[in-house]
Order: sequence, then C-alpha cells, then structure tokens
Amino acid sequence: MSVKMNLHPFLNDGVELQLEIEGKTVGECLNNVIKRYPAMEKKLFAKKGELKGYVEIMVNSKSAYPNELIHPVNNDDVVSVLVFLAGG
Amino acid sequence: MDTLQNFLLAHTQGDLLPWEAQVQAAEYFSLTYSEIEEAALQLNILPSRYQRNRQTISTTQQFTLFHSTVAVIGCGGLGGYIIEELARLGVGNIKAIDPDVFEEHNLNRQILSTISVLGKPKADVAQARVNDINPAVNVIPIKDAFSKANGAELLHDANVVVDALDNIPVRIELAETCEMLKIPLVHGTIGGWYGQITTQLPGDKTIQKIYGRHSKATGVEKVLGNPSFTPAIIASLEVAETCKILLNQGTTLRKRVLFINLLDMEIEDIKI
Repeated sequence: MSVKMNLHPFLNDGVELQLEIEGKTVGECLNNVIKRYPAMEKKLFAKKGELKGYVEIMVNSKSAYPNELIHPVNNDDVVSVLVFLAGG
Repeated sequence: MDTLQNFLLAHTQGDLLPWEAQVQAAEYFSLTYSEIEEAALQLNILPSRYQRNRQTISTTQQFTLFHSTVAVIGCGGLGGYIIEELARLGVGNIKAIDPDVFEEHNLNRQILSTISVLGKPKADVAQARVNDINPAVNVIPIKDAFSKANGAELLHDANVVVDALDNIPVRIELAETCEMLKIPLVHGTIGGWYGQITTQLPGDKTIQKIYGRHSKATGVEKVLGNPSFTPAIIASLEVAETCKILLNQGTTLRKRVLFINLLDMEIEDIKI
C-alpha cells in the first residue's frame, strides 16, 4: 500500500514534508518514515513505543485515535501527522 | 453646570471628551469613571482615548463594546495581551480568571509580568494594569481555576469567552461549558513557532472536533516552549474575533481553524 503522508514541520526541524510511503497500517508507515528520517523517532515516539502525547494522526481527515498505530490504511489514503498545541 | 449632561457637552472639544474633563466630571458629580464614560457615549460624545478607533468603530459601536462583558480564561501569555487589547478597545467589563501568580519564567513573553509583580496574582495584576490604562473599564479579577464545576457561575453573564488556557483537558471543559451556556468561545493556543485560532459558536462543537477524545493529550509547547512573539500574534487575532462577535461584523473563523507557522510565515485556513 502506498499512502500520501503529510508531516507537521515540527517533526522535521521546521520543514513540512509530503511523502509517498509504504505500509498497511499507520504504524508501518511511520516506521518507514523513520527509516528515511531517523531523527523523527524521538519526536514521534515515547520510550514505550507509544506515540507522544502531542501527536495526532488523521487518516483522510478523520482522527485515528485511540489505536492509531494499528489503524489500517489503503492505497492513496492521506495520513496527516499533526501536533497538538495547548500553550497559552 | 446643573447636570452631568450639560457638563459633558460644555467640555466636549468637537465631539471628543478629553480625559481631564472625565476626571473633573467624576469628582464634581461624585460618579465613577465608568458612569462618566457611559453618560458620554449615550450623548454620542466619544472619549478622546477612542479617537483612533472611530474610523473603524463608530461611537454607537463603542457604546456596545462598553456594555459588553468578556471573560478571559487565563491571564498569562495569551491572556495578558488579550486583556490589554480588550481594555484599550473599550470593552467595558472584563473577567480576568487565573489562579496563578507571576513567576520568573513568565518574563520572556507575558506582557503583564514584570520584576515588580513576581509572586503577585495574575488576575490582580491584570486589574491594576487596566486601571492604569482606563479606570472606566471594570476588571473583575477571579483567582480561581476555571473548571466545569464553577464554569456556569463564572461565565453566565459573559457575551464572549476567550480561551487563554494552557492545557487540553480544561479547554475541553471550557468548550463544553460554553456550549451549555450558549456563549461564543474564541479559542487560541500556541507552541513554539506555531499557533492556532478558531471561533466556536453554540452548537458547533469545534473544540471537540480539534481535540477529540484526547483528554489526556499534551501540547508540543512542552517541548518547544513559547517565545515572546507567538502569544502576541495569536492574542491579537483572538481579540479581533471577539470584537467582530460583539459588534456582529465581518467574517469570523467559525467552522475554520487558522494554523499559523511563524517559522516559515505560512498560514493555513482549514474548514472543520
């Protein structure tokens, strides 16, 4: 499966990324992104292999919460990896 | 000068009332500055402080703002600028809600924080600041944390609520309370170079759509912090939204979220 993935600029040191990436689930897609951009791992994942609390995954504009990493994806799905803002 | 009206008319220059005349009127008639400003606006006399408003905001609209109540939840990075701008705009009643005191790490961005107010309650400092700008503006300092439990009591008389909070769970509670009370909510939040803003009108459930069920989620500002410029920009946009709602003017960010990326100077306007 090949999906279109948009990554928030924070995840790539200020550069917004739009990628074509392979994977059958969101988790597989993210692992493939990390293979290309290893520095993203620390920004995406906590120590336990869980997504960081500020990461929001949208698949075709719908939240993939709560089981984002096993959320299935299909060809041409659009996966957006966003970050929550909460400061005031 | 037997009446306040005569006094104000006699001291008006053109159609503007200088501050000095407002002070004299308050002393002569034993009235508050708020009562003097109200009387002037009723006579279609504009206090001189608003003369740079009036190409944008008419005297009638200035009167509407004067009679408005805006609740600002949080008096920190966003809230400080919001309260300052609402006061200068001429919003007559501002509820400044924050349980915290100023700390040293606030000094990089919170406009109300200065060395001399470290350790003092943010809500009280907001009141003192506005009193210095315009004592006709009534600031009600509330040194309690907003929660769903006290929300209705705190917000029931607000025309607009402005979100200047610093966490997601309480934001969700605030949005639900505004939905229940049928009060418009202007939402803004920041993290590092990034900010977002939207306006939720009753029934929209916009905040629920943004944060979903992520009641335990955190914000990226825990990693990025907040520099001085991001709160100033997002706060100003929140005040512009508030002004439009109060005056029923223009096009708000209802059912849209504006994402602002100051690092690349990009703005995205997303329908939600």
